[in-house]
Amino acid sequence: MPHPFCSNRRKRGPPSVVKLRVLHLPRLRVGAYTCFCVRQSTYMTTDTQSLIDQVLEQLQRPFWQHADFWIATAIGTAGLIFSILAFVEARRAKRAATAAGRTVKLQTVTIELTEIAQKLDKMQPEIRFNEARDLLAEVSRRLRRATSPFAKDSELSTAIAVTREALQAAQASLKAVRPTDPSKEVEAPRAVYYAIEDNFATINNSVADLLGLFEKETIDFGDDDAES
Amino acid sequence: MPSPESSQYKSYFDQLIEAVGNGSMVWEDANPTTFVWESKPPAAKLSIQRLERTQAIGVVKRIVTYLFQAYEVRSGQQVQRVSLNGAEDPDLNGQLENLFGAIKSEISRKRLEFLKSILPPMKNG
Repeated sequence: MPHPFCSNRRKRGPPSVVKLRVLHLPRLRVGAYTCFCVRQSTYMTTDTQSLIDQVLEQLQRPFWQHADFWIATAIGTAGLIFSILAFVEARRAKRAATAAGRTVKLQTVTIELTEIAQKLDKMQPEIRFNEARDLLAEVSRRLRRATSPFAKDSELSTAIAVTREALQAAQASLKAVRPTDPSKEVEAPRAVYYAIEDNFATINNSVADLLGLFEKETIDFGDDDAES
Repeated sequence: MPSPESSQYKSYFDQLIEAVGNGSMVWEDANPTTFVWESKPPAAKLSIQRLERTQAIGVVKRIVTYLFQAYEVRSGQQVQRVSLNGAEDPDLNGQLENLFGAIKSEISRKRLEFLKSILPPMKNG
């Protein structure tokens, strides 16, 4: 059967000998096959044969011996490396942002604790029961509000637990001096102060410990996580 | 061995405890942990207070001490003349504990007497 693409057919008639070559191009997947209809040893020139051989040689070489393969591989690898570096930097930036936010919160808490400590320092020996009750309620509320976000922090949890115990002890000691008759509270002068003095001092010491720990925490600005 | 201060005050506190027991000194509770006695006419006032504090060194420990104070009353003003703190002297603290216990027992006894006095007469049979 003559081949439809054979241009020699018109000139020389149907080829008496048809040689069909099917060239598989597995990597590029172009041209499922190419055929050459030739009258062997009659029409094939030396140049054509040489060209075909060169093409075949190129196509039959392993893909890793092609320059374009290595160029694509290099570009892909570089892209992957830059993607990984970008991911690492983004993660560091996230950590640095979290640390910065934590630092701001710690500084706010430090200011709050300083105010509480100053308030405790000003307690007078002539303090009355209702004044002591109001003071303890305020100190307790502010301390718990300030420290509760850090209650599970490994560095701060112990100091916070001690502070809470001191608050409970102070509440118990204050309850022990609730006047039997409020109008006769002056009959036992300074009884309230004597009752709560030690426990309030313990609270004050705990607040000072917490202040130190919070100040230490604020020193870390997340330098380990971010690069300038 | 008792300290000099506690030895000095021991006989005084023994007399106080005896006076509380025989009813010649009637103490009043200013609050659940503070008892007060006033001489009549008011020229002096005594007070004893039970103090409880929490010590958190390693383990949480509750420490109970007693504070004894004497005031001189001059034209309505109370001037502190004596202040004995049991936290500074364990022997003294023991004596103050005995005095506090005696006063508390006496006050409790009087409260019970009052409660019994207001009960309606019991019907026999």
